[in-house]
Amino acid sequence: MQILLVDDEKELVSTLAERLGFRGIQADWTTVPNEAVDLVSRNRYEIAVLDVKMPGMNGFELKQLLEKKAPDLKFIFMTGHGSEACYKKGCSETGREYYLVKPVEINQLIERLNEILSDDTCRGGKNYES
Amino acid sequence: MNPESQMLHSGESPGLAYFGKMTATMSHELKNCLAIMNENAGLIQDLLVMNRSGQPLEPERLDRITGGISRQIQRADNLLKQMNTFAHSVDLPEQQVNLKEAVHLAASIGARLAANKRVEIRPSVSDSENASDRPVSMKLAFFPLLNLIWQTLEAVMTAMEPGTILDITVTRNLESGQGPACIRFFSSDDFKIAVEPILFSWGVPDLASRVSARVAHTPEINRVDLIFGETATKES
Repeated sequence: MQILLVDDEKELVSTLAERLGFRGIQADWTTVPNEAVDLVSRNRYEIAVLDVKMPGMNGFELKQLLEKKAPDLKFIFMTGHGSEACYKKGCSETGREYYLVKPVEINQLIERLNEILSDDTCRGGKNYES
Repeated sequence: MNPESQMLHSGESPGLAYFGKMTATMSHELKNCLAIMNENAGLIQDLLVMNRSGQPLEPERLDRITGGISRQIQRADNLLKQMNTFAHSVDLPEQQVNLKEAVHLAASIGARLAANKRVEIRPSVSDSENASDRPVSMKLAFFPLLNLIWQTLEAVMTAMEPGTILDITVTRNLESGQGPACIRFFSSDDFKIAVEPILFSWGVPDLASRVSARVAHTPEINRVDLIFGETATKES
């Protein structure tokens, strides 16, 4: 599984990427939304995990840009906010189960990643241990 | 959500809307601190599991991870101190307030919202007539003052181009430290839109009148002043 993590908190996103790596999930990361667009243009990711609130561009706006570059890309949102409006917007973009509130347990994240790829699993894909 | 629409959802109370907005942004920051500590703690657990399987555990690595946790504890502690000061700003109808500290607090607790607008704020609270450590104190209603500073700051940032710099100074004209005081917001970069309509539509002049202040706008030089204590000021 190859995923992209985007969050403006560098220590959070780099540590999460390393821990996912220990579990066999290749996770690239960036703290800059525009850099994410560039990464998606150059690499093939299955899922992008996006922070909702980032300076300059929020996660919902970034999703739209990434979808133009990679129409098959799937999304999970991570947020520290949890406001009603943000929650509704996040759920409408990805579905309630893919809107995670920080701090996120890595096993819960991996479960969500596996669920998103479950269609692929039916076609012979691989599930990752959480 | 802009201040106008926020007011509609908070019983048309601009103060409550401001309180809610700031509490939300500070709780967001705290969530980030917790999330980073959570990942660092998880990383230590991962390294221990790998160590039990024979992989060496590097003390320097553990030092770096625990150092990261300590930094986040410090960050969260600072946030909570600001949150506490903010919460207690409603305790008294009026109190002695150092305007420099009020600017610093209002800008700090709204820092993430400011970052979203991609405007760099430079709260340079000293000037040629005021030593940087000399307070500019007045007896004011603290919470309405913080609200006024933030709404002005947000209105000015809304008028600015992303990537530009906003300076804030606090001055008092007389060397004696008495007389009117001024919180000045200015930029060397031209505003992308006029700031005055934003100030009015967000009710900034009304907020200013609640702390016996007035708003002065000088569009030619991209400047907005909040002027305090021109009339019946209670000096420190």
